[in-house]
Amino acid sequence: MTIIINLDIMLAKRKVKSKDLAEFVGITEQNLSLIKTGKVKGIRLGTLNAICEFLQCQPGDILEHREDEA
Amino acid sequence: MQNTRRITIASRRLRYTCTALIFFLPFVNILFWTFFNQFYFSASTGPASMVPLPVQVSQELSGAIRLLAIATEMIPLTPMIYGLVKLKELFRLYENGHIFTTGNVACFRSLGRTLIAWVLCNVLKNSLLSVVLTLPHPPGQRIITLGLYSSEFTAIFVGIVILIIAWVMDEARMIQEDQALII
Repeated sequence: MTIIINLDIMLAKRKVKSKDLAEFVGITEQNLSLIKTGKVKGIRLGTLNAICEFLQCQPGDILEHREDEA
Repeated sequence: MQNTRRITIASRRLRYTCTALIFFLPFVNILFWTFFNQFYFSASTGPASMVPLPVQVSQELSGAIRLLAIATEMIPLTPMIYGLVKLKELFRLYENGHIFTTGNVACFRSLGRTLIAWVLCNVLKNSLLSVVLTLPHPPGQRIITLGLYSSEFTAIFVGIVILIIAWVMDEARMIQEDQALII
């Protein structure tokens, strides 16, 4: 079971820079990069809320659940 | 924030104290044995029994014996100084805001092991010192002692406690690393 983070796709769709998103959410660009690459262990609801507010999207647009291929 | 500032200030003061002790302890050792004869046999400094030696000293000690005594006292002093170096390292980490890192865990582990090593060195020192102090005696009147004092049992207990605290600190480090990856 894997959770895929499609933040890059959403950023491209909305034509916004990572730097602007990071500044709005209140996290560093390095931390945003960790989220984009899926290297985080979790995302706080407050952080997810801020990302969805900035990108005008739903959590499901950013987070995708994928079953591991047998 | 206020707590962090207090930790920084207290850690800096304790680091300086450890640095001072690193130089002070060997200096006191050398000073004690250099002026041993004046100190031990002088009525003005109080009863000779107040000086914690493994055997009673009944005559003045020569320079060579006192030099041997200094060297013997350095046996437990060495792990003590190493422990102070590690303590200094730990307080430097606290001063710089590093509370739950691998460095902190390593310091705790070293401190626990060093305390246990100090106990073993102290037992050895007491035995060797009894031989050194009775070397001037004629053959058949030289003594070797072997014993454990209550302070040594306490030190072993504290050393084991510190080693267990090192395990707990390692767990705290893992929890903090996990927390750092929750954004």
